[in-house]
Amino acid sequence: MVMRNVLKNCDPRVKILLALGFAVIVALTYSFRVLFLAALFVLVCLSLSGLSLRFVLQRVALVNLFLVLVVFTLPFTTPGTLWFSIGPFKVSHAGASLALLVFLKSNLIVLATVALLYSSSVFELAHALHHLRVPDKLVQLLFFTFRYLHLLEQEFLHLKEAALLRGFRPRTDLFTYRTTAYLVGNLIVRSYDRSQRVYEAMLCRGFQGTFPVYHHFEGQRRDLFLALFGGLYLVLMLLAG
Amino acid sequence: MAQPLLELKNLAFSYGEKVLFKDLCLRLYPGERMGLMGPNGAGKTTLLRLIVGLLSPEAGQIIFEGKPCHTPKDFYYLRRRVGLVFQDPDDQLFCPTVAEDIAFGPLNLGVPREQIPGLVSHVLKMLGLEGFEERVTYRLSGGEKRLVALGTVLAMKPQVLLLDEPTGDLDPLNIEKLIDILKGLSAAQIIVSHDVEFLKEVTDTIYWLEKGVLSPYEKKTSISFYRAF
Repeated sequence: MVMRNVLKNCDPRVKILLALGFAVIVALTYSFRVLFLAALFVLVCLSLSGLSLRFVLQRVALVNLFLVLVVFTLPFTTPGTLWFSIGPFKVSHAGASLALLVFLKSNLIVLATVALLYSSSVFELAHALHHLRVPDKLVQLLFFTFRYLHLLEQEFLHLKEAALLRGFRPRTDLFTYRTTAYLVGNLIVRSYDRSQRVYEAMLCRGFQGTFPVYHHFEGQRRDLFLALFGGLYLVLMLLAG
Repeated sequence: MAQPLLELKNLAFSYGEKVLFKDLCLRLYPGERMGLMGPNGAGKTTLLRLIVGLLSPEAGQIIFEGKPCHTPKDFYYLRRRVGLVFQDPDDQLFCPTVAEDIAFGPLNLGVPREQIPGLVSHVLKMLGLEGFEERVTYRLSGGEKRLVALGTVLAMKPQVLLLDEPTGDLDPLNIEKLIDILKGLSAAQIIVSHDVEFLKEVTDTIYWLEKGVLSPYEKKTSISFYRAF
């Protein structure tokens, strides 16, 4: 059980750098050997992350929704030696392997990112990005985007409930469209106001653009191990390619 | 006479056509506790927001410790010493855990990191919420949220505490608790509330704000109902 969520307590700076390095290497490679090594890396990360399989699959399913189109059109549209044909549609070897490559790359990158970064809170990640010398404006943008998306969702649920409580049932008529438009309009105005108030409340507590964290990262032996092994593995992947 | 800690001099502010104050003056002395009442929309919240520099007045001055505040830098200094607790605790709490939220202000003020856990548990003890450190802020009850929101400001050890309707959705027991907490603080306080009994219990003086004029509060139940129409 101790091994279950080792990654959660690791330094987010190391995790961000590993995820970034991994993503770059995997995105740029054309070699299946590298992808095999990458898959091993992902497996180890996932088992150390303590995330449930179901949760991870849900995330990946979402990504693959976008991939479907690419994966199913590439084999037919890429020129190359003929593999097989279905009626007038011809599948090339090059196309099939390219589709497989795209599919594997995308999934591996998403899986590695989820495994490495999901175990840190956005607050910790924002703080880590500060330490990695990412410009303040970018970090704030990231943090507030996340924060306001959450507020947007909350406000939307409130409004929806208010409408439902007064007997609103969506139909395909002008009244429904108008009501929906009101809801969306109200949602934008309210979320804006609310985000403004959150920002002001932060100002009142001395906010100056940086995110101090409560649990400060201290370079522990665990982090050193993760950085060392992760880094070496990435180098190995580079050499294999 | 001692120097006032906070002074508002001839403050004027309006939202477009609607004039809230034209010539508002107010003095708050160290340790003084002041209640502020008034009809809805009289500008009580606006007044608090003007004090901490979230809004800027059209005319007049906000003077803190004898020094007029004009620039954002002045107000940054002021906000380190004047804490505002918002009306809606959901606006105030944005960190995942209670401890992180309470630590946010002190960390911004540069309180040494080693002192933070002790400070957090001290504040929680003061609020009667011992052991709440790792609780998730948006899963707290309404009353707990309100107390934690107060705690996030108390952790900054303000000299002046501004409270906007602190009794909001508190049950009678929690209101008693709040009264005890506020009475135990040495900070000067301005408390906006509609709850006369609560204000009488906590504050030294109660003012009534209406049509831009601050006047000492007298019993005006019948009049204010009449005036509302």
